[in-house]
Amino acid sequence: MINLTINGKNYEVAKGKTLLEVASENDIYIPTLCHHEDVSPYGACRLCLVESKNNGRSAIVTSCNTQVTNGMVIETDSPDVVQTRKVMANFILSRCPEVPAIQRMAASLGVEKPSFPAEDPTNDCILCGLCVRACDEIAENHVLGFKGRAPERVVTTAFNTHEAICDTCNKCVPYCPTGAITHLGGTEIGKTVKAKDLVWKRVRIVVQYAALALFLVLMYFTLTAGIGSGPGTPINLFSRMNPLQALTAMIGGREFIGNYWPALITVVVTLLLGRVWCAWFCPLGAVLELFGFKGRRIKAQWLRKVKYVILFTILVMAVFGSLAFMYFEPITIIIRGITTGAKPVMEYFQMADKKDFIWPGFSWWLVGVPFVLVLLLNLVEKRFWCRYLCPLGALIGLGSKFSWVKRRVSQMSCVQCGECAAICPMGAISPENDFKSDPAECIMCMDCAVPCPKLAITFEKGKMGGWNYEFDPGRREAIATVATSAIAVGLLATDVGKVKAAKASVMRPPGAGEDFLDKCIRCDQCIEACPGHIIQPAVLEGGWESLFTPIMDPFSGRCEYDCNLCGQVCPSHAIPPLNLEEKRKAVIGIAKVNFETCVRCMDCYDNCPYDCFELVEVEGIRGVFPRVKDNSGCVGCGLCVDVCPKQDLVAIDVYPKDQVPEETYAYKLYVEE
Amino acid sequence: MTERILPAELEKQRQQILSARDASRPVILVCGGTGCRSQESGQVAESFRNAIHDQGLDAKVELKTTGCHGFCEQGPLVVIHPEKLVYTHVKPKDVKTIISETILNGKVVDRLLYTDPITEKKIVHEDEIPFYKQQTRVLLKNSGAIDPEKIEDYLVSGGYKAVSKALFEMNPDLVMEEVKKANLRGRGGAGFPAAIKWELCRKEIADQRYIICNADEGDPGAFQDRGIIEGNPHSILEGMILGAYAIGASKGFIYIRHEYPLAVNMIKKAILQAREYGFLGDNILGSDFSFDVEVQLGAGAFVCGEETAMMASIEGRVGEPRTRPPYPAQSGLWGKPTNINNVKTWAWIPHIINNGADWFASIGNDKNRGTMIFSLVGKINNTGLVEVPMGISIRELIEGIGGGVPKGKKVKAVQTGGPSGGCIPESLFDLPMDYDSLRDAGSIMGSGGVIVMDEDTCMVDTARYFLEFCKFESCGKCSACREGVKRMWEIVDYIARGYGEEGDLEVLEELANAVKIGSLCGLGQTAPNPVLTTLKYFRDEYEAHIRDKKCPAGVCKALITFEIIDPECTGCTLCARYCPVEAISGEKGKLHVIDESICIRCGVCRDVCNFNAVVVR
Repeated sequence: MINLTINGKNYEVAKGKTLLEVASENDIYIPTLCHHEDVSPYGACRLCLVESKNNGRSAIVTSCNTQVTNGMVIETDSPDVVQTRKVMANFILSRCPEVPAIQRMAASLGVEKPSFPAEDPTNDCILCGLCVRACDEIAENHVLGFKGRAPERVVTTAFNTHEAICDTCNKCVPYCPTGAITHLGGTEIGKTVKAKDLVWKRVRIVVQYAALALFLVLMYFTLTAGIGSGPGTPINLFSRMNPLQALTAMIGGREFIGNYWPALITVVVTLLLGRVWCAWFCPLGAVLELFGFKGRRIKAQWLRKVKYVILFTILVMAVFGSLAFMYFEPITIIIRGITTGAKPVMEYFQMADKKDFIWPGFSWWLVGVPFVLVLLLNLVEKRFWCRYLCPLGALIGLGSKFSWVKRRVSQMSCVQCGECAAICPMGAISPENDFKSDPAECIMCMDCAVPCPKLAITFEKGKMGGWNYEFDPGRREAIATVATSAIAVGLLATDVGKVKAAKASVMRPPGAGEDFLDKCIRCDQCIEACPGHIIQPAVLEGGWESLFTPIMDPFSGRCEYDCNLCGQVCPSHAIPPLNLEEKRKAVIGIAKVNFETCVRCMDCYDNCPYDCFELVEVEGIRGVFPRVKDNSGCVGCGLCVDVCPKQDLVAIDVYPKDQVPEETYAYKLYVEE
Repeated sequence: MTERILPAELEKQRQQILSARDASRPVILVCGGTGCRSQESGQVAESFRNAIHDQGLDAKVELKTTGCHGFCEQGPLVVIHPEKLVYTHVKPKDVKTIISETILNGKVVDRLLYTDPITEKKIVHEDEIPFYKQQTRVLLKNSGAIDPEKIEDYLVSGGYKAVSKALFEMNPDLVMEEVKKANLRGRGGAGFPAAIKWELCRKEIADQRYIICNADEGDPGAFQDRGIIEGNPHSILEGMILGAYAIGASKGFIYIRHEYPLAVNMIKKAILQAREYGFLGDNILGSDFSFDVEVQLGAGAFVCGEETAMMASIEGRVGEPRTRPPYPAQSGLWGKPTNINNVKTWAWIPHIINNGADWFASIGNDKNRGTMIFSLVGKINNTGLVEVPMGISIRELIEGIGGGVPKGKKVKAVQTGGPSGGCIPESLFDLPMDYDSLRDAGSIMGSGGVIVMDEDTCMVDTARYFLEFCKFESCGKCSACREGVKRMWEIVDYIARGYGEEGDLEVLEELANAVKIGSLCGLGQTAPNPVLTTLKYFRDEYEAHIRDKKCPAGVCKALITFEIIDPECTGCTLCARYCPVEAISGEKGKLHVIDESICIRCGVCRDVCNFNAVVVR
């Protein structure tokens, strides 16, 4: 055993240790850049200097390669040591002013700015020799070495040529304290690993945009009513794969909706691979990825928890039987966005005589507002929506916390250069948290692995499970959820009187039952699909809770006799998938002619596919009027309204079937003479 | 096992060689040192050989090409024994005269004699020349007298006697004891006692020990080691054999710069001859001590003079120093105990063994015994190699042996120890030249380079020169030296170019001190010495550069202007004709004018002017 004194304190240590080892074992901080315990000491950075007062002689020595001897008296921060370290740190910082690891080290030694101009600011190599030693001692490849003396000294391979072994070895990479090793010319270290990362990133981008393309194709088919007959068609695939829709529709509807089986795939994938939905599949995500600021701009990162509040509020509401807040759901947002924008535009171009085209009114465009808002927010930060607001992201994120594959940052390698944090489209990488990321925030896009100079970022299989990440929803979020849910439920409680009446005053697409609002996930794909334009988005006609839900507006169009698309596209079966026969019989409402304004053109009479009309003579009014027969079999398809030339005077209208007004005029059946 | 060759038998051999020679036969010694060779001494020797042959004098006259005589200023030198006549500045065309006058007729050729610059008298004999008279030549004694390519010459001068004495009349302990008693300090620069180093090396338990002769002399203006190797290579081999015997080493290396082709050649020949005579190889002189030497060429890196870097280089690795401890004595070449000494240290050993420690102690002062070889260069009359006892004052060295500064200029400073040393101002010239005094003055002895600077030398420029040298020669391993020296150079360079600012000197001092204590090896630790000493002794010059933007010595081009003055200018047009940029105008016979905007300050006009009409402002 050896006795020595460090900073006035006595230590007894085993023989053969270096001063640096003894110091670190006893929590005495000595800075160093060129030392690593895995390789032999080198003494190049001159930061680990300490003052040794052995045998009455004072000397400045490097602690990394000075072995302890009996009776040593060491000062780790004497004025000389502090001053010399400061100058050395200044030298190194002046050489590589842009390396964060050096900046931090220099700052810790009191050097905020380099005093001298850098010869080549892009050069990150401080010539510490760790890579050379790793190559010699750990990899035993002896490929790396120094070339040239001081002015031209560089780390390189023999003759500056690429060595094949470097493709697979990469053992030097973790040891480089600045991240320069993968930038060295000639050596091409880490290139293969980076190429591999790049392949996955490319695959991801291909999948992502293929998914977006698929989504757009499906939207096109929806718009043109191309396919979509028969249950199980993929036309609403993105909705059906959406676990949040599945969950809320089933909770709200209090029934199992088998149509949502594809959501199970998403759940399984999430539990295996994390939040891949967002970067690989989500069409809204793909759109949002196209522009915006990467990294973090907003300081208040706790905002990320807002999405959990939204998610839990939606779920609480679903428990109370309302899916009103589903218009905050990403797939519905993008479908509604496309519906509002694409449907009129497309029809305008398909219209033979453009003069006949009628642009939809104000309330139609309102449906696209959330989508536009999401796009605008993206200007603040890329994927602003995904980071702070998306309830689906929150749900999948919660699952990702337990996922099998997660993003990992090797702390031994990381030089905290910040490249990954700057490129992360989610701003998920926390510089203040060693550049790790919350798996709930990381969308596994793998963009960050490419710029990492240290190959420190991997997406590794690991243990399932986990909690205690940066943005876990906590007590505050629970309180916020309770509060917002309380307000929402409070609003639900206003579901009396006028509101209730309003709710009942609107007609729903064919086949929709009492539980329509409990299952409708507000995607408005039915509106998009409806070729007769009778399905229109509700604004406040049916009360606030019906916002953006589909209602039947015969003044906008008619329910085509040979169409059952709305039922086909509805993912939650809020509009049941009726076949044509069933749909034709499904009662939407009942039509009734207003004798006061009817001009007796008989268009309705002539066109009704159900043959519901009879001809009557009305008492007090001259002429023969069409009239919907009692128990005629009218389903309220709205064709009669659609063909009526006196729509402005409401010469005929369709009413909810129990709200048909009483006939105020006496009439008698007209008999042709 | 061959027969043991005792000292007596060696003496017998010596007598045999001597008796075969005619002592009265004239010997023409042509200096073959690098200094003289650069002045065509090779052709002089060739002319002598041809002339002797043509005139059929082969039997009557002996011709020898020797090592450096030391008086390089006067080269090529020809010395004629036994009279020790010295002819200076001998040209090949003078050879016929020398043969016909001196050799055949015994007459002295007056015009080739050395003229004392003070008394202006011609001096005939070598030992009468003040340059030689004031020296104590021990190591250099034979350098100009023997043919370095002939081991017989060395044997005749008493060579290898010490080896035989040590092997058969002493034992390793006694050899060690003698060197210890002599207190021989390492001549490499630091002055660490050689015997203590040897003992450390011998104390280590090992199956193999190595010794190394450090002949990687890289200081600008230093050529002492080269002089010895070129002039008397066997003395080094003998010293190494003795050292190896004392230490218990069986293998030695001579690490020599490949830029010294002549020295390399000489030492290689010497090794072959020594092996032939049984002084090297197995069972030296019939004893059971075996030792051999190998020459290792350095590729020219200055840092390889540092012992750990040198060992790395010998092992075949990049010549980079490592931290000591472990010292080479503990873990040196291939992990074995190794002892490294300078050429001059090794060359001293035979003398100490032959003459004893007491004799050695009688030379020099108490702590710094023996002689030291200095290479006098720079602004000095007698450029050359001088060997003087330790402790001689700088003034004696410069003004006595060196003959003062040429052209009547005032001496300003001397720089000792090469780029690792410092500048000592004229005011401290009474300082004795020894390890401790020089160190206290901020310089070092180094391996003995002495650069003399006169009043026309700018100290800022000097510091810049040495920093540039160190910047280029730094191996780059440790950031203190690699970055620090570069940054110091940048600052000094800026000052010299007129961009200096207030506060630069404080930063410079801060850096210099940090580099001095923070560097890994001796190169970095001593690189700030030129800066620190010039800052200490010539701070006003720095300040003049920074504040007044003037170079007092008129050297730093950015800060000076050339001017032609009246009435000295005769209008001879010489300057205008030599000016490379045609900056000088003026009619013949009238005052010329230099156009400042064109002038590149090359100084050619001043150099060519015969009337001292061009002055520096």
